[in-house]
Amino acid sequence: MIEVRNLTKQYGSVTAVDDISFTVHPGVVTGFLGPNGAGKSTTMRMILGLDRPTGGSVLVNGSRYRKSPAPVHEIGALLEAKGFDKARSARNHLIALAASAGISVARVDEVLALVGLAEVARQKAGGFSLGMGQRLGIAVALLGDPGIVMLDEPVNGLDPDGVLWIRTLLRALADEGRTVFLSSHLMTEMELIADQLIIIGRGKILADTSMKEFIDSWSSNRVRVIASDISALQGVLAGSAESLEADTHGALIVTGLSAADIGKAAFDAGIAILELTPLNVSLEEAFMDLTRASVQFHTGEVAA
Amino acid sequence: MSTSSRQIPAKVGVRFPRILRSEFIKLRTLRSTWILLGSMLVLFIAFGAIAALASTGQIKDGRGGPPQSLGLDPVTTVLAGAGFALLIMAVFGVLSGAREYGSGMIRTTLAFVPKRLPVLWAKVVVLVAFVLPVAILAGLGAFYLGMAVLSAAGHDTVSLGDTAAQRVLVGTAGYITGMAIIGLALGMAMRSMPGAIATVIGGVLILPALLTALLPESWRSVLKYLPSNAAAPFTEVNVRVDLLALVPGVLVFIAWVVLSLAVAAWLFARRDA
Repeated sequence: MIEVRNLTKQYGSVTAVDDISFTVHPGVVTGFLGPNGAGKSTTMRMILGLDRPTGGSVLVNGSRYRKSPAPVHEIGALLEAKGFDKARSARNHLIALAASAGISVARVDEVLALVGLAEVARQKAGGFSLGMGQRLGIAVALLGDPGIVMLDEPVNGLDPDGVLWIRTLLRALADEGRTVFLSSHLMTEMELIADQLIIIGRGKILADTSMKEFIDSWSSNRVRVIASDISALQGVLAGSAESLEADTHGALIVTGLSAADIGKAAFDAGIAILELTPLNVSLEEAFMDLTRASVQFHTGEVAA
Repeated sequence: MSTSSRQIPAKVGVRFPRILRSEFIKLRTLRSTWILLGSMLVLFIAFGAIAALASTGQIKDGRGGPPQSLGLDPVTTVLAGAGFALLIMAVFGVLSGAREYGSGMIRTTLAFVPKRLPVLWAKVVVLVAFVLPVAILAGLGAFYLGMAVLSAAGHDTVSLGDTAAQRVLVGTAGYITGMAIIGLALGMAMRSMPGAIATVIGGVLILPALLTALLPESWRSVLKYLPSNAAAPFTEVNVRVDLLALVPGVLVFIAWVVLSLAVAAWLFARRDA
């Protein structure tokens, strides 16, 4: 469990993280979502004690990370894809890090196999692709068999196979009861992987909710319907719908009823449904709406 | 609030001997370590042998005649490569301090050892363990080979029993090792290899010599405290009256090493990684 309390980080006059509080729980995958520059990486660095908070505190499993007698058994982290020496082999990189925590070489070979780098383990890590670098970073994160796995943008640079692999891996880790905390700037990625969602924009928490609640609260309850007799259908639905309005294409936009409700009511009234479309807002749009005010770098309007 | 119920095995965890081992593996697994140590060893010995040959007239200069007499005592002659060894090991020190900042690996290292300072101490211990034995070996190699060359040509030689020879051999190995530590401290403090290399070579090795040559005599009382001047009493055969005596020289040089480490440690413990 990670408990972040009133955490603030200022760089000069810029407030990168602004008094945020949240808790990351075990047994679920928690997504940390926000546009670039929102404060995700800064927050993660402060969780590990790499950056010193301007204010507030972080507790990892109830105590401060730097006080832990066995830090990498508490949190295994991937913070940057290229956080290794190019001249050293992947295996030696892991062996050197493992040594500092009393982790065996056998465990090193185990994680190398787990991330699919066993074949190239003795090659210089400098020759690795971005995706292989990410896998090496994930191997580092898993070395200590940690109770918390924290990954900053883990799918960056991974090919589709790799993306699928990491989703499966993170799900398995959460199912084992571990705390899984990962950041991304892509809602589409979070949708597929996260149970809990913490959205950050300009250093502030914009949402802290379950993925299901987030989807429910942002899906619209509107349905677009075209029927053989629109005016008759209007009459049928008038009592139960919140609102009915005709759109310019001769369709009826129904608010407050599900597609199933509308279909049944039309069937009972002998009206043929020609088209019935729930008008969902995509999560990407919802995320954009939520963070629009807080993105650091707006792209200008493209002149026509 | 519940905390993690996972049991962390008692045998794992971060301890200083393990950090030492980790830092040892890091240096051991870089080819540059062996290249730098090897070239230090070879150059130190080779320059001594060449200087010995030159001083006996076995190496001719460009005009076909004997080189102008070096006019140096035997120990100074055979240790002619010490300056090169010093430069190479200062660079090696910088590399072992700044390299992890170049790659970003320092953040991975500190995620494993969040208490930080033990990492710096371990880097110092491991650096000394690599540099000091090779520096002693190289100095002895240069001494024996150089003296053999001088002896074969019938020139004066000095044995290892000579107290001045002992002082200079031990002092030179210590000076090289100390300068490597200063390089490491600068590397950790500046977090940039080019910047720290320029500082250690330019600021610590060249500038004091330059200032000593350029500034008026009245400055000598201050300049003798600079690292390279403070090292002269234990790295040079002839004792110079305008510099510090042996023991103050040793103490002042150690003070420079400690000061550079103190600054590096202060910054390392406080700065964002």
